[in-house]
Amino acid sequence: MLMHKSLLAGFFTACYFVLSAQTPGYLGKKLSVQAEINSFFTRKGPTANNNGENGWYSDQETPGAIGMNWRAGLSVGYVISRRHQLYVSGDYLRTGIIHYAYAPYQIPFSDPELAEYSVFHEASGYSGAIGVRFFKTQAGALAPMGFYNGLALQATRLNANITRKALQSGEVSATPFGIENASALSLAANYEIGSNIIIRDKVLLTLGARLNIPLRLRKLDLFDESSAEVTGDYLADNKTLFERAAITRMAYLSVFSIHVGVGLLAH
Amino acid sequence: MKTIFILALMLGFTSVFAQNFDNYTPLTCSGKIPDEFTTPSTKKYKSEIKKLEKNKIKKRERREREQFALESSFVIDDLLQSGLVLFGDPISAYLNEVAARVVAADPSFKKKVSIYALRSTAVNAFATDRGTIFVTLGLLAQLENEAQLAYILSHEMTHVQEGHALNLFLEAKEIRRNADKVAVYGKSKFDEKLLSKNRYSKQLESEADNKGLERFLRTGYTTDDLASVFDVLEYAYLPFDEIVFERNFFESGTYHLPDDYWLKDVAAIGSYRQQQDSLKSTHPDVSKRREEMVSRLKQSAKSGGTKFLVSEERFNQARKMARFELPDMFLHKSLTAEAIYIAHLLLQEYPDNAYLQKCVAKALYLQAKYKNDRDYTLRSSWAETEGESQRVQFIMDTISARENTVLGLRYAWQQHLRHPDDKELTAMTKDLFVELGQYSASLSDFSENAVTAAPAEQPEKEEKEVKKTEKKRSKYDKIKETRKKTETETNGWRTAFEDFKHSDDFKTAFDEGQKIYAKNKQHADYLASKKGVAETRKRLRDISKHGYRLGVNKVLVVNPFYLKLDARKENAIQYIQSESGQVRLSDIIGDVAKKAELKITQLDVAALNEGQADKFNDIRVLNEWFSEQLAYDKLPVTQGVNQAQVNAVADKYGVDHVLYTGVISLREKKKGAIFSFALGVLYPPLLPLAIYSAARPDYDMLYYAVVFNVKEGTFQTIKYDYFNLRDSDTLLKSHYYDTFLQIKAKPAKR
Repeated sequence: MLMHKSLLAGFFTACYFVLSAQTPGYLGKKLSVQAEINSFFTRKGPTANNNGENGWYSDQETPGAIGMNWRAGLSVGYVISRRHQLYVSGDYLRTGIIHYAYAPYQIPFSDPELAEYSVFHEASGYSGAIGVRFFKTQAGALAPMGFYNGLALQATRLNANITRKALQSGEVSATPFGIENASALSLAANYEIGSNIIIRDKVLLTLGARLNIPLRLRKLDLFDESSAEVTGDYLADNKTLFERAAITRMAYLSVFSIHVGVGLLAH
Repeated sequence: MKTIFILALMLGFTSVFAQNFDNYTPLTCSGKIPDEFTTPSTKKYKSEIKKLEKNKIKKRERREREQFALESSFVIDDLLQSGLVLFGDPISAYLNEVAARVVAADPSFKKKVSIYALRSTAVNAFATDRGTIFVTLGLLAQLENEAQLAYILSHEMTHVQEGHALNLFLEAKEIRRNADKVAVYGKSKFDEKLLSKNRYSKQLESEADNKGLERFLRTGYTTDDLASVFDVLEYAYLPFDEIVFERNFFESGTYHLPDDYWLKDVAAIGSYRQQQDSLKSTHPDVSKRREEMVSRLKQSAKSGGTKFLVSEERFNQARKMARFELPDMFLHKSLTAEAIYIAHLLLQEYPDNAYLQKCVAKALYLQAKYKNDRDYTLRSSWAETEGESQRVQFIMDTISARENTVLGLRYAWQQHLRHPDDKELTAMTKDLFVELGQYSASLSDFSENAVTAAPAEQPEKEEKEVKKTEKKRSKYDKIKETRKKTETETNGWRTAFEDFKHSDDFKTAFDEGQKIYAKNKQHADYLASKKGVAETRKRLRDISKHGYRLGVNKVLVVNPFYLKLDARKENAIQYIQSESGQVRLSDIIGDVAKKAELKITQLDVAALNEGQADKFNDIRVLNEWFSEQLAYDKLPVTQGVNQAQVNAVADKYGVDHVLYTGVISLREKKKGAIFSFALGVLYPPLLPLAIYSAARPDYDMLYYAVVFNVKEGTFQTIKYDYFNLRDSDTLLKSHYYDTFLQIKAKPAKR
């Protein structure tokens, strides 16, 4: 609900700017289309192919020191006034997720017990964002050129499948976790700073950095101490644990990202 | 040499008799623009460098000579393109003829010289190593005969022949180097350097005096009274003549200038100029120069000759033209008293001269505008003035704002009646009627009857009654009574309009002025009110968001300016890059204007070809007007000194608006590179940014764009921005596009 209200507010704000403002652009070119790459560091955390510090998964894997997660996509911007540019972007990302999961095992003549595993998901997903950039006219910037700061709303849908698991306690279990192919939705508000450079009146280069602030905070481990509790329904528990881990992964480990874009300007 | 002589003769013959002093029109340039005005400075500099390559000189001296060639090329060209230098005019033609006579007498003088008249009130002449000699109109106005002029030109030719400008430059460098090495205890090194430089300069001047005299002695000019040329220099600070300034210059009919504004006795000439610190002067003491010349003349065997080899009539004509130009030039510098006194001198011979009378009207108008604007404090200089011109200076310095406005309006109205078709006079009177609104709301204020009569002598028997009445009156009543009497004594303004206030035209103009004043005041009061302040804030927010919206479809862009500076170097001005940058800027402006669909015409001296002297004149007119406007700042002067000419130029190009724009780019010494890099090392994710920040050069850029409505005398600063950025093409294009859109965009409907 909050997300819907936020998106609507953003839409109407954009409409206000479009309807009321003059739209100069760079020599009249208001539209820009760019390919973008975002990278975010993950110190000792898992990436798409690496467990990170959890090297005990496999002897062949190297514990991560500073790993890179990345997302690549497309961004379309439209200048709506001397100082403002609206943009929408979509990108594809890959990362890794590690968390605890439970699977029951049977001890003869006893009630089923739950074995605790550490599971590694290889995750990929799509994200979309809508935002506005504010160009610093006092610093010589005029949309779409120059220094800017910006705000955006971003939604990411992650799909993950378990590629590795390691028994932590209990007996080996053949029972599926119920999260072999899972997905999670992550929301974030972005604050970015950057600079657009124009080359030969046509090519637009962007270099920027983003601060990503997660919005679904209740899903994060940090704020939810009941995450350690096991309700007894291992399938539901596993789902919850995956979702928290996925959102936490997206939130913590993409708190700060750097992006580079290159594209073209058009009228 | 003969070619110069013949050409000068032809030019002089065709042009000098064209001026009608009864109906004087200011001097303009005509004919072919000389090559040296339009040849790029870089080309001239490179040609000088080529000459140096032939000489075998030390590396350091070569570098200094190259620096001299660079600076002199650009500085001289700056002057040539400023519009102050005249060509194709009668005065320059005459000067060249005189110069040809001097050159013809000296076969050893091999250099080519070209002489130009310079529009300046300064009494001066100077030469460049390239052979260009400038003689100011201020100097020509002061000379007594052609022989004096010939001597001065001969003096300047010596500077050219001996390469004094270069020698002084090299010597100054040498002095600076040596002064840096020598520790001078208790004395500033700067003083020592300056004094040494001035000593050398004096040596060169003495050499020019002596060798100039030798050359002069070979001409057919007489040496009789030649030493009086130093009188010209000694009294250069005074006007060209000393004629009593009568009170009736301003008084006529019923108007009397109040006694408070009239100086009974003036300061004697010479009283303020007796002490000169000759150590700080670049020229030898005038009296010593005179003595030296007299001594040399005694030794020479020369006799006979004439004061006029070319023509006495032409000398008088040229001098008169120079004198007629002076009031206009003084007005451009807002030196109103000087303008009025010079006009007064010339009006002795031409009492009904419309041009001179209009100069006086303009001076009074300008002075009234300054006095009425409370933000301006005019410097009072009458105490430093000598001679009769001190009276005028005293009037201008002490006259009250109201009296000035009334006097100005009276004078302008009188001229307007004589020349009802003169639009400048019409516009000035209209503006002054509006100014009058702050002092009087009714014509009945301007009446003799409004003057309070002095109380009659009281008969004795009424004395007790008078004393009783006195006791009843309060202290403040008595003060008001005293002030009224004082005002009465200075109330010249009350009777200023007696001669014409009954005419319908005057009444109509007065009422119109009142209406406009009331409307302006209402608007000003509204802006100062709460609502007005809120509206202004709203407007400023709107401007910040959308920019200005002037609704102008066509502008004239005059001399786009570009300057490149490099603070890392000893000589910060990068002349060559500045010149090429100017061409680049002009191209960018043209391209971007097309994209923004704004019609522009660019006027740039550097881009003119030889047949475009008319455009050269147009640029001069606009540049003069622009310099004035800068001096006035927010002063609401709607009529510039040369408004008629400005309006004519604007009509010629079909515009009301002129854009003055430019870019100054500065490269600074890099600061904080180590700090940036250290930050990147400490926090690795920032390393790429840190490296970029450390490696990126420090640039600053000033970009300005001001649009003037030349007909209304108003302006709007579209941009005056300072950025920590390099002046890349994309940055300039972006800002010019934005500027042009703001100029073009229609104002929002209210």
